[in-house]
Amino acid sequence: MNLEQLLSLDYPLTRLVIGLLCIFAFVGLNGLVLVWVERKVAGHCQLRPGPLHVGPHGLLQPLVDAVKLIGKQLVAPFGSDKALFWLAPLLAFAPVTVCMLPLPWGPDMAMIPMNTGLVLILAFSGLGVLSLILAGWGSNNKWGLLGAARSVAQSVAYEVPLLLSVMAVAITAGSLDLFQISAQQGGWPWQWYGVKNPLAFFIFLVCAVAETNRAPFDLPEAESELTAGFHTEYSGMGFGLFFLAEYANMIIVSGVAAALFLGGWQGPFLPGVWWFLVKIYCILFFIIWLRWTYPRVRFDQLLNLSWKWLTPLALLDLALAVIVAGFGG
Amino acid sequence: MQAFDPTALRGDLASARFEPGPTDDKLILSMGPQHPSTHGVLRIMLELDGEYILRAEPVLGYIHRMHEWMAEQKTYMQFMPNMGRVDYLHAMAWNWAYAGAVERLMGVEVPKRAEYIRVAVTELNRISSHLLWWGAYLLDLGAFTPIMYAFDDREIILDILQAVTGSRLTYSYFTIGGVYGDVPADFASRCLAFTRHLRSRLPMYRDLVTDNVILRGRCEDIGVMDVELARRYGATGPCIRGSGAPVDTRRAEPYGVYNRFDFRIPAYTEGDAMARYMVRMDELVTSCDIIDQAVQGLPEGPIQAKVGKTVKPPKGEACYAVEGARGKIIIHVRSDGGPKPYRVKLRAPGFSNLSVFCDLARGTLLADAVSILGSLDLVIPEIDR
Amino acid sequence: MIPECVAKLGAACSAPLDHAATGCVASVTLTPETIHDAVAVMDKEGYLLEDVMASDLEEGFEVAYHLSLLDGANRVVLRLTVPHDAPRVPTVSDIYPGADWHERECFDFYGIDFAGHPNLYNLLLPEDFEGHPLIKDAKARKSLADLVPLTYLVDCGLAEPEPEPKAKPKPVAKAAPKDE
Repeated sequence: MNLEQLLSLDYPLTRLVIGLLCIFAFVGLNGLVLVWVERKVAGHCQLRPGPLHVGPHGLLQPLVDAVKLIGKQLVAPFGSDKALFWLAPLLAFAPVTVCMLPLPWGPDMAMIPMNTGLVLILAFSGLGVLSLILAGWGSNNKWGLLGAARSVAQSVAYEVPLLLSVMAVAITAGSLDLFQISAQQGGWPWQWYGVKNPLAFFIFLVCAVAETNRAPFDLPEAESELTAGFHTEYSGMGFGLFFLAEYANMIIVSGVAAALFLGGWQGPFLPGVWWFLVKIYCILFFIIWLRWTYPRVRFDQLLNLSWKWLTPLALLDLALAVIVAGFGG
Repeated sequence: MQAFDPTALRGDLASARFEPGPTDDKLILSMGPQHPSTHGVLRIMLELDGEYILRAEPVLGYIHRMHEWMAEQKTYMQFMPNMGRVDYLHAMAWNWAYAGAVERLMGVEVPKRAEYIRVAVTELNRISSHLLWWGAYLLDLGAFTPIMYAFDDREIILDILQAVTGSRLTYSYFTIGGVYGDVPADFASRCLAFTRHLRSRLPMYRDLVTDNVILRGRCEDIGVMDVELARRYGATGPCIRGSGAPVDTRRAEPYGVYNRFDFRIPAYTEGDAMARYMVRMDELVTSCDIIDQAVQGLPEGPIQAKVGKTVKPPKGEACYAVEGARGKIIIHVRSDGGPKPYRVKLRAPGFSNLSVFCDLARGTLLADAVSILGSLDLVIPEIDR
Repeated sequence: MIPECVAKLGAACSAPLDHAATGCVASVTLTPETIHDAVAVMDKEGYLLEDVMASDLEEGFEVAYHLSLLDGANRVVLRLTVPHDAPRVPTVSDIYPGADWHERECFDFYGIDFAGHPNLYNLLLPEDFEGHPLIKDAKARKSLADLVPLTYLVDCGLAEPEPEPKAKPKPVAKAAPKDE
């Protein structure tokens, strides 16, 4: 193997390294942008301008926030399990990088082409909850523990309907490859699976909000009940990593939603990647908008919603998708 | 590194009384005094089974300032500024209760114009208190946005009251026998403009917040308190009105000129957090009605009775009850004929309202406890005094 | 006018008060032995316990229970006096659970021992606070007769009838022009 071969994008390892670098850059940059978007949307929802003074329209505010977070002392509480305590934020961030790999950014923009991308994302997104348990347990804090307990129940409850709704689309498309699923839809809304199968799209969106612990389903961190839930004791970048992981997870679920339900990169006039980004940001905006509009649900209501409504509905939807796929060929 | 020894963390008396038993797998949780939804400095000891509350007990005193001792050290007028600090959200009602008690003791008759101004500013203050409660309660329930709308409306009130009293929060505007200063010329028009503005906002609040299915799920059938429970605990104000008893000091023992105004006393029979919520939302309209009538019928005349420079009531005792935003405020003043009160007793409505919490919280979820606590509308400085 | 139920309280004496002048309609003097039953009667009548107010007098600690019906101007005061050296009053927190905290507050400020109270420990003061802040010096204490020249004292034989028929003249209102 010579150097030329090693530097070629066809070589898997090189591709992986470059892909991971791109992901880190994208996630970091996008985290900053999303913090700004979140605060701007929140501000405008609340009759105030949001960040305004650092840079034009406060664009540089997240950068200053990041510098502040990085500059802060990392404090581990007395009696905490140090290893688990510091492992948790890293573990929160690890699955993000893997889940980003199979996202179809454009018709020929895959970091690593694989025909089971959907399975990879679903498998690794389940890892995120582990970090919340470790954070809650390791920080030797009762609020953290309650938050961790909540996050387990919540993540188990919402993974089931999420999986079922994704399965419905996968059966309709006959593939687990996000590229193929995207390619089978067209550039116009009536060709999208989200329009053909709105129930699955709705279930996916609700579950996505719950899986990313965003309001109105932000129970593991419910700050008015559990002070800050699992990240009560984290300071500085420990908190920052959880924060970044939350935004990265939002991008992943939005990316999957765009690929599965909104036709992925397809759209008129613009090159694929722009359409993909536009669709991702529309969904992100929707998730942020939800947070600043609704009160938080209670824990038993959250579980009831999943087990009594979303799961049966998702099963029904899956059955319908199987029947339609069977007859339609 | 020093090994962790749980016994090294010595609790205080309140937590010692909550020690778990030998076979318990219960979680003892100290909620507060720095918890986001205990509104400052309330602390609640909780015994939890999972997230279900087995026992709850508020621990008070974190902002205790001994106002009753201060009253005995100060002259009658010197104590008036304390009234703005007891309940900082409805300072006017406390002003009124104290001024009223001393006036009753001295037999002073307050000029009509002063009475009307008192009604107008107290009701404005009540609206600002209810608006702040509304925002803070929704904040407790996880809705971040309404408090900004509430503050937007409240800002108008604070501007009006600033022009009248000179301060924005801790008013000491009342004086024995009247009010300190006359209202500015545009007071009536600003009040009317504000009530018009608030009435136009209320339908939006109803559509966006009150009728929200998540909010309903968090408030309905939570913390149900019947009239009997409220009576035994001495809960008053919106708490007892939410339990179906249309009890209001403004109607029961009309003070000032309240018997001249036509207003409705809202009451709901459900007794849950939602009923208390609805009572307060309806009271915004009630207060608007009273303000309209008060500023439109504002008579001309003096704003202070002649009481002299030093206030020296004859010996005797008197109490004065006022309907505050949180319930019945009563101030007892006992005079020995000297320049300082012999004894002043402040009856804070929040004190009695909070004592119901132990009963209401039992068997609910932690999140419900936050909802119940918010629905009682607590102002801790008033409870701790 | 005294509410009818006051007759059932077994009071040593009761006197009507002028609501416009004092905010109460009746004052009932009881003893530590009779207070518990009296409060139970008031509870059955549907009264709401507004507060429990203690004050430090020459005669001892006076404890006043203010009760009123849910509606109307009908505040009744039940009073009793306990000596300084043995301030013991039976608790009424078994009748009115709301009295629990009011009694703890009186314990905080005056050290009055409410017998039978389930958890009589500090409520508002810090747990390591020593003493009771509202207890006055012996010099500063006033007798009840110095404080409340009200008709009920006359009725109870605690004071001589005053020459003026009205307990509450308006001396200050008349004196006001002199100050200016």
